[in-house]
Amino acid sequence: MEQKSIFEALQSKTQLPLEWVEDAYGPKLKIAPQDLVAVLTLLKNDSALGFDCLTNQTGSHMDPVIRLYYVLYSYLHHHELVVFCEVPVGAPVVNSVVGLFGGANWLERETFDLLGVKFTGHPDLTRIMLPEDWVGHPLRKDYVYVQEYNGIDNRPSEITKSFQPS
Amino acid sequence: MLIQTMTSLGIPELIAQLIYALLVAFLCVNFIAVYAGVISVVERRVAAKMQSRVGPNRVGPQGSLQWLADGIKLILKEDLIPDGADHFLFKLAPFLMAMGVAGTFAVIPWGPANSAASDMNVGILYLISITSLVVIASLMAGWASNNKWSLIGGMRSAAMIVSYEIPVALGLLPAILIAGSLNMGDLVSAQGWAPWDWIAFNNPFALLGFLLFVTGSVAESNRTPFDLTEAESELVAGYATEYSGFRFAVYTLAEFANTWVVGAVCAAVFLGAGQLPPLLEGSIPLSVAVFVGKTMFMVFVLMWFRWTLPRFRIDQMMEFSWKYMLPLSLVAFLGQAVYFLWTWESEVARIMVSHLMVLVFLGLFFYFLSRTMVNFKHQAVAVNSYKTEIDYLERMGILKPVEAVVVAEEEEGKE
Amino acid sequence: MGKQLRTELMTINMGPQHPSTHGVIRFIIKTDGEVIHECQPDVGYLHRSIEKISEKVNWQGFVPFTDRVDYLASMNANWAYCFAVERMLGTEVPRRAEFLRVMVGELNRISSHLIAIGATAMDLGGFTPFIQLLREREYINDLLEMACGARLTYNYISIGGVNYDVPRNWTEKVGEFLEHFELAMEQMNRLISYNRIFINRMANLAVIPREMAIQYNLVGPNLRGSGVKFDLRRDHPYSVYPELDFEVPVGVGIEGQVGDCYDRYHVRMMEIRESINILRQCIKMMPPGEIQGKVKNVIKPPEGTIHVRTETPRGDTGYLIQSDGKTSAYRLKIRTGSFTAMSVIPAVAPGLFIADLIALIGSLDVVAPELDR
Repeated sequence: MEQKSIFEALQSKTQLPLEWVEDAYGPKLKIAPQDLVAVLTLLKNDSALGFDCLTNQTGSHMDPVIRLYYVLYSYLHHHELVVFCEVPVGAPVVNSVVGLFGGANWLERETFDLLGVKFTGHPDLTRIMLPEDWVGHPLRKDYVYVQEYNGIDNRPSEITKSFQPS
Repeated sequence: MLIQTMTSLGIPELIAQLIYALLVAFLCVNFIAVYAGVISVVERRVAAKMQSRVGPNRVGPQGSLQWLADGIKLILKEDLIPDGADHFLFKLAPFLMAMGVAGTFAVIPWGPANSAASDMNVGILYLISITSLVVIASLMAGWASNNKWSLIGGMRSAAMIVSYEIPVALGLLPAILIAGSLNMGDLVSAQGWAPWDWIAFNNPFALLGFLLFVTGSVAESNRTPFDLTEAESELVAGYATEYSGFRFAVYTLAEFANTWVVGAVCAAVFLGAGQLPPLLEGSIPLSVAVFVGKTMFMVFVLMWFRWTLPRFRIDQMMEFSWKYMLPLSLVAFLGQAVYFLWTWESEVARIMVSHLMVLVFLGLFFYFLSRTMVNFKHQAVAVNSYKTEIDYLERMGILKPVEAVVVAEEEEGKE
Repeated sequence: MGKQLRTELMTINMGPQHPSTHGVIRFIIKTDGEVIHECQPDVGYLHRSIEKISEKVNWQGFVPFTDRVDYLASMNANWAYCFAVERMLGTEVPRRAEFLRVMVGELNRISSHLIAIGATAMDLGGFTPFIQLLREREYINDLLEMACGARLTYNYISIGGVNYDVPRNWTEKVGEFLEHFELAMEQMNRLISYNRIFINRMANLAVIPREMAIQYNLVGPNLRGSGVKFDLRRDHPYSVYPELDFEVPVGVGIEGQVGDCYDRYHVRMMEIRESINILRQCIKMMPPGEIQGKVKNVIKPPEGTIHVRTETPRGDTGYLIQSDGKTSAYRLKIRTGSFTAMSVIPAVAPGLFIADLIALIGSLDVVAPELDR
């Protein structure tokens, strides 16, 4: 199905506010964070749309919001849709979609680990890549590199500094 | 003989026997150490050959002294005992393991009949029971190491050896029936020099017993496909995980010495030991050479298994023992008894059956060879079609200049 | 009634230093004897912040880092990234470069599958197949070295084309190799694929049904092993794949149920055969000409977000790239096949033996660097 007709089909089935955002690489669906689970449920369960797989999930820190991407794919109809919603950096909380897509479990854990987005209803929201006692979320743009971690000196050496572009 | 000489010199018989036992034990233990070392190098070379590798070839000519280097290295290693380990049992386990293996050398013949150190009238029974000491050793090592992988390894070892003990013992029974004795010397002298005089080819049931014995022995000596106790990719090193230095070396020695035990028992009980044709009768060195040759062939077969087959899973392995091998070994035993009743009167029938067995076996052997020949053919194609050495020389610029650069420049020049 | 015996599960720590957790992966398993009741993978030991690095280096400068995303199939990892950036820029890639990409990509796919198959065999105790397959891989490494001078991290495919042309007789050498390799694979089949012990270990083990595979976002050979006939090279064709003729092998439960470990293994075996097919066609069709398209020195893709999936040996690699029109990515997320494959293990592990868990990891072809990035 074409991207345009996906949007039209979706719009005809729900009253929720949907926004069609076009950028240089094609259209994307923008929704409000509180509607996330509702819209994704609809996308998954509707037979014409049939998005049965959450193939990618991540976030991007764009002050003052964190934009959360959900890339859905349908192995039934072979079409893809990028859905995104924006949550404020101060209180990045969104509902988890683990109940809908099993694969979201680890993807959401990674987003939590690296961007600090809290997914309510996630069964095991712990850090996945970084150690449990790590401070901060490295993929945020305002992340400050730690100088020392558990006694390991992490300051850049003179040699490293000399290689850094001025 | 030695004891008689000593008693005639006026030494009390008890002391003479003690001296004799110590002498034999000294010889056997040294034989184990040297044999295990040499065979470890041989095994590595054989494995390397099977895997298109070179193997150890640096220490001594063709790597033949590698085992000395390994041994010296292992002895120089620090002797580590984990903190939470049971020190006494941890230290005791390797000795029990070595005892279990070394003890078998008392009854293993070396070629001619009556060449075993001790001419025990229950030789086979003694052999089966002394090898069971290994169970206690591995369980002890697994428990005392205070390591969960070791514990699982020890448990697996106990379960495995206990279940494979039965088919092994029952697999020996047809041979015992044929010889009518548990004595090793009698078993050897019940056979002749020619394959149709061997117990293995005496009749189908004896051959079945032989195959069951080999399979069970592979399991008992913890080698692939039954090496679950020290399955490297599952249990790190099984019950030997926490051992280091000389204690670890003892485990390795015991494992390799076990291959000799298996091979020697196969050769002595089933494959005609060191029996020679009537013309050469009485030549002890030749007899020993024949026996060692047969033993080494069996050891090679064990290596062959090890480097070809993947590993069983624990439940599959138990199933294999209890559901297939145990009934089959009972069939072998009962079948042998019935076969005896049947051919009691007819010497001709027995001779015909054994000759037929040898023929069938030879046929199977050549069929197998013809199948493996395909591999050699493919190997030849590989060597001819892809000339790695030449490519290497090309790359290094020794044979002729690399063409890649030239092509790229030409094409750029054309534009 | 008799006394109630108090029993408890044994917690075993498998890895990060364990012979069969390839690389550094850790499993915390709770077992009842040998039977696993719960298995919790603990990953991240090889996290190298590659996504953060992408925000610091420029677009071309990130290509060598993609080598390190999956060092067993660096060509495909390069390709996945370059393809995504080319889609953003709308770059035209010359035809010869496309064919070279397909050839090195398929060669690398073969070498990656060889490792996967060999490691599976080694974990199940068959050491010889692993060594024999590594020998074949050495030949492929030789061929790739002839093309780009490196044996592991190639950095060969660049944005807009490939970095170097291949030597003049390279395609013939690939052809010679394939002649030998087909026979070698037959040998390997006899050694391991048709081995009863091996089949009994792999068949009907850790079955991942079709729905579960899609739910857990399995990709590539693991997905096809579960019976989903989906291959990006066929369903969303890119490069010159539409011109090439090849099959998409799927798991059919050849020795047990659809989606068991043997199916995943078998799909990889079949994919090697298809790759040989593709390579043969490429040798015939290889055109002369340019190898590098027109790309500016400083790339500034327009603002926006793109999601591009490319078929790589360990499933498809999904690149979600957000650009803000500057000289480096604003946000770049790599979704790899190992990551999703790993997340299915806690769901299928309960009830397996410890030895089966190792077979499962091997059949899913999980590689630590790709998992942790």
